[in-house]
Amino acid sequence: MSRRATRHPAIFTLQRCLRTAALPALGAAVVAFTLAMWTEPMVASAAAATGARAPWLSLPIFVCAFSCVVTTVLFWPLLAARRPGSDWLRRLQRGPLHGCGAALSGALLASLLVCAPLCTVYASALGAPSIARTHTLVPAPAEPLLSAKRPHLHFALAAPLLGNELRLRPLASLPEGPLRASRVRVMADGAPLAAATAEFDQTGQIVRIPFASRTISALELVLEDGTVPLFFPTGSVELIGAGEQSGLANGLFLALLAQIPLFVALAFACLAGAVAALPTVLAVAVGVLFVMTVGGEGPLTAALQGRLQGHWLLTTSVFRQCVPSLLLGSTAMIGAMMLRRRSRR
Amino acid sequence: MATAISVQQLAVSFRTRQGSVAALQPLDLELGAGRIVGILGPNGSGKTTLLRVLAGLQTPTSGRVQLLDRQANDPALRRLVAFQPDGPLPLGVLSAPEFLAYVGAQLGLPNAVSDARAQAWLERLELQHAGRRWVRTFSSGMQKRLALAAALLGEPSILLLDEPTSGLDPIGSGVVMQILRERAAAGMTILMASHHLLEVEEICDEVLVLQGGVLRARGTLAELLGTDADSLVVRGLDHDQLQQLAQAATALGGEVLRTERQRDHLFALFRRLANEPVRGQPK
Repeated sequence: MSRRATRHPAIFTLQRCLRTAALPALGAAVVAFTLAMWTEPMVASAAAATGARAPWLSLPIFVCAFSCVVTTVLFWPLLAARRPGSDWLRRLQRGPLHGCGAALSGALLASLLVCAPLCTVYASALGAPSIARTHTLVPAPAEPLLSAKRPHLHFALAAPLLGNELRLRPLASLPEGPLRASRVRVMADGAPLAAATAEFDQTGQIVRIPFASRTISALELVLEDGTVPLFFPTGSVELIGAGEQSGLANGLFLALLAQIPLFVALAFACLAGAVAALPTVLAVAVGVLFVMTVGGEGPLTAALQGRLQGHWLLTTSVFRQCVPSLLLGSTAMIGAMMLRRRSRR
Repeated sequence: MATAISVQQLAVSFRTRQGSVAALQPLDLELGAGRIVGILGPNGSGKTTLLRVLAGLQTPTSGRVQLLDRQANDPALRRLVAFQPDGPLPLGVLSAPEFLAYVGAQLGLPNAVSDARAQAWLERLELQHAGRRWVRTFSSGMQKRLALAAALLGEPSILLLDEPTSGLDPIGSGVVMQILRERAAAGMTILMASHHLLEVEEICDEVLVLQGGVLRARGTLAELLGTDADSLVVRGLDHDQLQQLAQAATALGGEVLRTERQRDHLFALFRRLANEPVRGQPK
């Protein structure tokens, strides 16, 4: 009873959440790993197979977040209206949210501590690579169709990038004559990127073009032969960075990203709890969590897949995906502060 | 005597679907320091609302409230004024020492001071044996005693209590009454809402009677109950001797109100049984 840290609501919530979330998350990881090994996905390449295991990584993360949401809402009485004992805390606890923010921080920290080994060790066990690379999606031109009538496509990069691999995955259209695979040569800044050409005869076919590390600022695709028109929307041309990043750091960054659904769910609980009673608050929080994890809204789904496929997550595009969720959560918190101030009158 | 609580034209009303409901009609009140004041009244008479306004938890619809010369919502009053609401304690998965440590930290007490006071109150209120048990597993009486310990932890100048002895056994209730008497003697102003009329009669210097949000009566027990007259209670006389005493009293101009067989109070029986070992169990 002598350490000051154990007297703060954030630490109390952290302890409660660790007690209730760690074991279920571990159990979910064991079950998910067993199922992942048992039901090998039917995909073409090893990298794609690893990416297809993303749901097995998301299961224990979801279980952890779910436990933390329920524990926090039940533990801190002011997260729902008209809970017994609220008057005690409303008098004692300073701040516009009367400790709800501290409880939220404790839950996030607990979830981060549980998710860190899941996103590093457990993800590696699922096959996540030990190194990560930057994957940059090259923006498509205005009319991204490569065909006999338009045999040249130009792609401009926002900034020069140092890479050593290009991945092409176009959509194929019906052939314009007898089927003959389209052969595409890739030019980078006016010079051929590789000696060989890429061949496509079906839609969604992925071709990897490795090359010696170099900086690229513009790409050109040239149709040399074939009758299959190819459509290159944004996302179908990907430049892989030459630099190797730590897979462990990538896992830790994923653990951070995994807190976004929990943050948004608890922020909505804070907002709803200003006026609604416990069952409604729990339903709102768990509903938001479902939408942001199982429902695939927010950055988590893409980040899980990226981690398993060795994509370096600390990039502008991942951050850009996080912004709407973070804004939504912050707005809910501000709304909760305003509602709670009003409801005291 | 310095004024601890000053209330002027205080009114509180709540909006409901049926319209506005007045929980407290305009009320004026001044309470001096070091007094124990009881608030009596039927359910829904405004007792808890008055306490919540004084605790800064309820903003009044109109009127002015000052405690220790500060507005009721002044942050400085968080420590100077303690409020023990009725009902279960929050954070039921903490132990009693953890709960008191949390309260002490929120009141800004140094850890050592908070821990020492918590230990003393736990012993005084016979909660030291609860150990690491979760508060939510406590009986309602234990929760009441812990709530009082939490309220007294910051050594406030004003103590607001809502049903401080409900759920307590007579012995626990006696301990609480004794503590309140000591605190009042040390200068603490105590305002308690209660349905236990005997307890209010026993320890309160003054009583407020609320009904329908209106202050119906206020004063000391002597003023309200008219107990100025002296009376005589005798024991050890037989029936004839009592008759003679009654005649003598009547001859002197007194009035014999009733004669009855002396019997002990239930409280005495309870205390006696509590001190006797149960057969087959060591005390």
